[in-house]
Amino acid sequence: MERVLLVGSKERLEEVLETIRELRVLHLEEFTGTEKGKPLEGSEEISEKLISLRSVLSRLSEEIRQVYSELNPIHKITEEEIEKKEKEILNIISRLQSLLEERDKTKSTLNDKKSEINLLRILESLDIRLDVFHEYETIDYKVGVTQTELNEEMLKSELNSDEFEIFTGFYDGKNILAIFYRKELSKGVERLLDRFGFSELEEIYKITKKYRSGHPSEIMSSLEMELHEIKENASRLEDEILSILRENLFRILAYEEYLKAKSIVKEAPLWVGVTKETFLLEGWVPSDSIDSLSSLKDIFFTKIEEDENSEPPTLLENPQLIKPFEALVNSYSVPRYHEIDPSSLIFVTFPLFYGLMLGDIGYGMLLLILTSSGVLKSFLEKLGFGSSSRVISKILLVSSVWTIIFGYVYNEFFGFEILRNILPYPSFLPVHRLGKEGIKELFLITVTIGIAHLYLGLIMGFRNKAIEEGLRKAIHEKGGWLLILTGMTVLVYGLILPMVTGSQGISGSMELFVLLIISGSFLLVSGGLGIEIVEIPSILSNILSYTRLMAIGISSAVIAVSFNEMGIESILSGNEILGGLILLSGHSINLALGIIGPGLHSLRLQYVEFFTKFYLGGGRRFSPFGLERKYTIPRR
Amino acid sequence: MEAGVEGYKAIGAALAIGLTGLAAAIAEKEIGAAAVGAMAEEERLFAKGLILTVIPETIVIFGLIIAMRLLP
Repeated sequence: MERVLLVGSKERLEEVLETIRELRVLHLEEFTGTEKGKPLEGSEEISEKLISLRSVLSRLSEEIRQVYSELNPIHKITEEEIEKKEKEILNIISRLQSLLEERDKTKSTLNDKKSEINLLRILESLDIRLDVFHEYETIDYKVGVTQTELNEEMLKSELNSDEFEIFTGFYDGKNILAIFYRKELSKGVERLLDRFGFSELEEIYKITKKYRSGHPSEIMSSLEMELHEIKENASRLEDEILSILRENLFRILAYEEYLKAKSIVKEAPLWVGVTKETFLLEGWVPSDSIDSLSSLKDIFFTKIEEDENSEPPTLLENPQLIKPFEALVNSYSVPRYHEIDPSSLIFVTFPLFYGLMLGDIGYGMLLLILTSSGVLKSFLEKLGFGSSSRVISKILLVSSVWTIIFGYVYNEFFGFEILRNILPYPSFLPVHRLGKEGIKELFLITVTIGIAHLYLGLIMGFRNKAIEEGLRKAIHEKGGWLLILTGMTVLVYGLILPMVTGSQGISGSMELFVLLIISGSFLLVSGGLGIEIVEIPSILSNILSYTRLMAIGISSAVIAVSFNEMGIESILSGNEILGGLILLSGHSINLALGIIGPGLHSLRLQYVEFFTKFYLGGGRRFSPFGLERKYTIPRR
Repeated sequence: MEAGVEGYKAIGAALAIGLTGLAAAIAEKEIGAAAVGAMAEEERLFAKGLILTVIPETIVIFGLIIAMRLLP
């Protein structure tokens, strides 16, 4: 990464920014001086256009997704063509806008009518004509819901009067009551109704005022007719929107991209130093693309020496196969510029751990098919994973290969141990992970993998520390930890493993363990890191944490075997359909668990056990000035 | 008598796994809820949330080792 400075005449700023935008190699740094530029002329107009277009697009997101999937592949449009047809495109957009407004209006009338019909149903349950709801001089009325069913006799004795009339009904699981009474009785009626948990339905009076006469069912049937018409209208609007999108979607999307490209150039001077006649632009360029910038004519171009205060942005460069694994690193934290990029290490260990856990040829093949065919990707997209779907799918594709390899090692095919009859095996294979011997072997293997992984982490931590803070510091801190790790290794191999396998411990290992821990602690304390001593036991838990590689795997294998037993038992007892269903659903559940579980646990081993030994992160991602051209072809 | 000892060992192993599992679950419940809350505020806290959530899990592995020690 090189820090560069571009200086030129102010008149050419826009043109230079446009060129840089298409090159996409310059990470623009904000100008720190006081003489910052202002947005270029026309910037407001463009952002207004962009905002109104985006609001249309976001309201149409559902339809766009639908049409987009029908219209693949993308048809790119040149910027010249967009400019020539701008009026036409703007007309299409304003047509869409008015259609959207009309659609909103129809939707709200539709909802109004629907709620009116609901209220009328309530009145229908009372079986009274709307004519009775007049404004009377001497009579008042209330309509509402009561907790309990009321009858006239009860009210008569409670009110000591018979100068009222009630109508009762039952709608949607509730007791409905309409009561008409002389105004003098109103206090008593209110008190009484309170006692019965009466709540008034105020909306009903809107209906009774609006439709002053007729039976509710008559009004409802005419409303239903209207509703039908409104619905037809709504679907006509929807059809028109879809047909406009089908014809013009790529033009609209291209127009948005065109506006965005313009607007980033127009806004960019806010980041640039500007005087009366000149501009000054600072940024970072990857060393191998520096030539493309120096080709700018009549622009003063120079490299600046790196100073201590400015950390360059980080651009990760990995082969295509490893690229998806950068996402795992970035989601922890972006590496700093001088730090080792752990993506390629994760490329090895993440799928390895994954395969070690899932380890089944059947599941591996299924996962391989799901990921390579893109089924998993589109499923994840539907779940709302967005752009991570592609990355997750690719990571799982690599992992599925290891799953198949370990499926061979464990001799498992959907939990059935049948591969031995078909495939050749060397004498030390397969590892039968459901038997006692297999578990002990795996325990040893996983702990060894863990220790190797931790050593790798600490050695890289040593390297990072030595580069950044000098060898002395590195020896004190990471050297101390390496000694402690060695001590814990002695403890694990000499005492814990023999304990688990039930054999004799190795003599002298306790003394060696104590010696190593003490000397490691001494290095830490003498380096001024005494407080870190409290972390010493965590190294042991780090090592033992890798036994999850065995434990998770066994649990998924046991689930598979259990479903097999249940399924086959049903089939043998003559219930083929039930047995088939058990096998199918059982293995689907196990595969779903198998995708999530090992993925998370493998990631955890990277993040918690491995990264904490060397990786700090906290860098800035290299994001070049410009934009990805998806729908447009830039002007030459 | 021999059968009785074996039985107690099995119960001990089950307790080691079961109780550590329960303990990890209780600890993760609280951390997980807080982590999801933090993630809802800021999505890039996913990795940190994940790390914090799974830390208590190691207890179960200790339980597993004790269980394996009890039932060789």
